[in-house]
Amino acid sequence: MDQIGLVSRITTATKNIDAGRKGFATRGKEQEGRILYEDGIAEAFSIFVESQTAADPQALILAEYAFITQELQLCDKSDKESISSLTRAIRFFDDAFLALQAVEDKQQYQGTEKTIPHDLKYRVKGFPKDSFHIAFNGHKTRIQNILKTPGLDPIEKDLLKQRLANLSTAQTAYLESQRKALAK
Amino acid sequence: MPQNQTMTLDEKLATGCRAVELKKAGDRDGYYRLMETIPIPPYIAKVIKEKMGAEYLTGRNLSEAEAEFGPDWLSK
Repeated sequence: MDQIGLVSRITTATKNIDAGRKGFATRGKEQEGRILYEDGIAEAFSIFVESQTAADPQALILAEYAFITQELQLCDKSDKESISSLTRAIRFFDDAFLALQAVEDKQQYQGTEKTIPHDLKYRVKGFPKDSFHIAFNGHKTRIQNILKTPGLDPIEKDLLKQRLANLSTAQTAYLESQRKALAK
Repeated sequence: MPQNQTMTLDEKLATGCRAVELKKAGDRDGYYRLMETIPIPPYIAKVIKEKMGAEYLTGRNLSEAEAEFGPDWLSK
């Protein structure tokens, strides 16, 4: 996936979501805020759809990380539970980025693989359940829980469903990276 | 508008809405060009710098990131 284009689209979507949310909270600017917010969500949706089609783990993780970061930034400061959950998700994704780098180094990753127990609890389809899988499994649960929230805005619900689908796609693509790294 | 011009919320809303009108009229290039004039939120600029590299931010409006993190932030 074109990285420069991806960055442009992520920055576009997040700019409009950011300004849109602030517009909602400003008397007299609610309508403009709604226009920008909906556009930002639509842009985010198309980013997630195209990332899924490309099945590019780097694009998938970057898009998800950017929007989690934005969620944390725009979170109500009194919502301690969400702040804690999002902060934790970001920490896990930071580790996932490191795993994505590590898997590119065959020799290093083959060494790492020897340290991961072969018990099923520590494996995903026979491959190490490393930071990438741990981050994505945890985040899937988080999004599934959010989807159970009553009264979700339909456009936000669609976006969450797409993000959830992307997490599985990212893990499948990552398994392929692990397979290549561990091939003799 | 100069590349690193700051914007008030009103200006961002007005510019963004004009951009959305361009998109609705079928001008996606015009939409993205106008959107590029709006400053990137600092927390997103930080994500791009840390996870992709500073080179992906070259030529973009970083006025808010520079105000928050310092004028030499991108090169540090």
